[in-house]
Amino acid sequence: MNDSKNSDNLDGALDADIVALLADASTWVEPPSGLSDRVVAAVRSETAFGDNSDPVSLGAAPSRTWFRPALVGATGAIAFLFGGIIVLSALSGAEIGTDAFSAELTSTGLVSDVGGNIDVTSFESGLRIDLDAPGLPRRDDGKFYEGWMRTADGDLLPVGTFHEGSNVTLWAGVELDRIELFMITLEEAAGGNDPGQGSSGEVVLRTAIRS
Amino acid sequence: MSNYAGAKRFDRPTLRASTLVSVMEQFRPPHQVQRDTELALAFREGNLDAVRTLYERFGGLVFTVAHRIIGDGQRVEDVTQHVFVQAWRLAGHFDAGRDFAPWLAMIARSSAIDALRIEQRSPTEALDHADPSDSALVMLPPSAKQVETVWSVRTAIDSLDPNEREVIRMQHLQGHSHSEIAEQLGVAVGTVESRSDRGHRRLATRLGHLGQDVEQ
Repeated sequence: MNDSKNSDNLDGALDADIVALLADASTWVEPPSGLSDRVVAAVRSETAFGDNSDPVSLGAAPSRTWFRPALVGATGAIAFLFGGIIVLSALSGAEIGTDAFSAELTSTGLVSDVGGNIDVTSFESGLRIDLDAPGLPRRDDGKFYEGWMRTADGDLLPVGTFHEGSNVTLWAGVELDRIELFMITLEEAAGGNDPGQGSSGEVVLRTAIRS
Repeated sequence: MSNYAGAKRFDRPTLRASTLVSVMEQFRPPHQVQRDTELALAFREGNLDAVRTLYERFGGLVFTVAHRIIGDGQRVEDVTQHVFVQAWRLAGHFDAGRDFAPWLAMIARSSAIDALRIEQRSPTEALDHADPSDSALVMLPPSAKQVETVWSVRTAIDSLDPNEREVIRMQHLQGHSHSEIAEQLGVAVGTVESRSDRGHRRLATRLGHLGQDVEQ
């Protein structure tokens, strides 16, 4: 009876390097069960938006290969402009803030029948984003929404978390003319499993921004 | 007849995965080619059933390649997700008649290497404190040939009968002997031996093309 640790039939049948790979844990790893839903949601977000955004790379450091060329982004922004989604307007009567504008948010389809808008005002301390998206269902018990801004350089900035979409005020420490995209994602607290919690990539609402 | 409603065909340039196309193609019977073509067209259209089907078929393989390059951690999941989003973005350049495997392998490799480079640019500890086995210290990413090898081995493993697969996993990964495996599985040693023998023969058949060119 052959009771060796690795049977003798391996020696002739398989290349030694293949045997080494069979002994490597990475060859046998299985993706977590929830990843399938994440992948489908991410592609759905992408298809709903058409182009221009990469929800997967949220939370990642910028890399030129992870973002589309600026030309594509500009094309997407123009489409939104013609759709009446971005409305730049001068803020008359603002006592402190300047350079404000309003933008309508577009649903990615992850949550049905939602929409909203943001009013962005520039202060010395940063940008204030007043969000109104009353159709977002309340998220509790470790689940929440998170706002993100992406700059033309590919930097992704978290701008705050919230339970529901009405009367939300978010803040961002970034210059107005650097903003390219505003997004809201579905999040769930990762606790100690992910102390530096990044984005889920599950974008609910978003809008392209051109100053 | 397509299983995916609304599928359309586009005449667009083909993205050639010159290194990885190779022999992966030879394992696809005609009916599989037909199914893959329908799947490619539906995936290109953003059909979510097609996205899920593609993930079910190749998610484990993509995850394996990412894990091999990056190591353990959340980043592997992020890269796997990115690969499928990137694949959808590039689907217009994919020839629907070809095999997904080498194409996805190429995207997985480049995405994982990008992610690894980002990590290497963002050290959080002094190098003096770094573990020599830390993936961030590995400067040379695997070659396309090595990725093809990993992908081929994983594909061959996934094609095994579950009983054979489990015996081979316990034998190679855990280093158990036949009698130890038999005891853990509650079967006769002879059963383990026959499963091991059949499994290894199948692996040898599926992986014979790698021959002497395998790089570790």
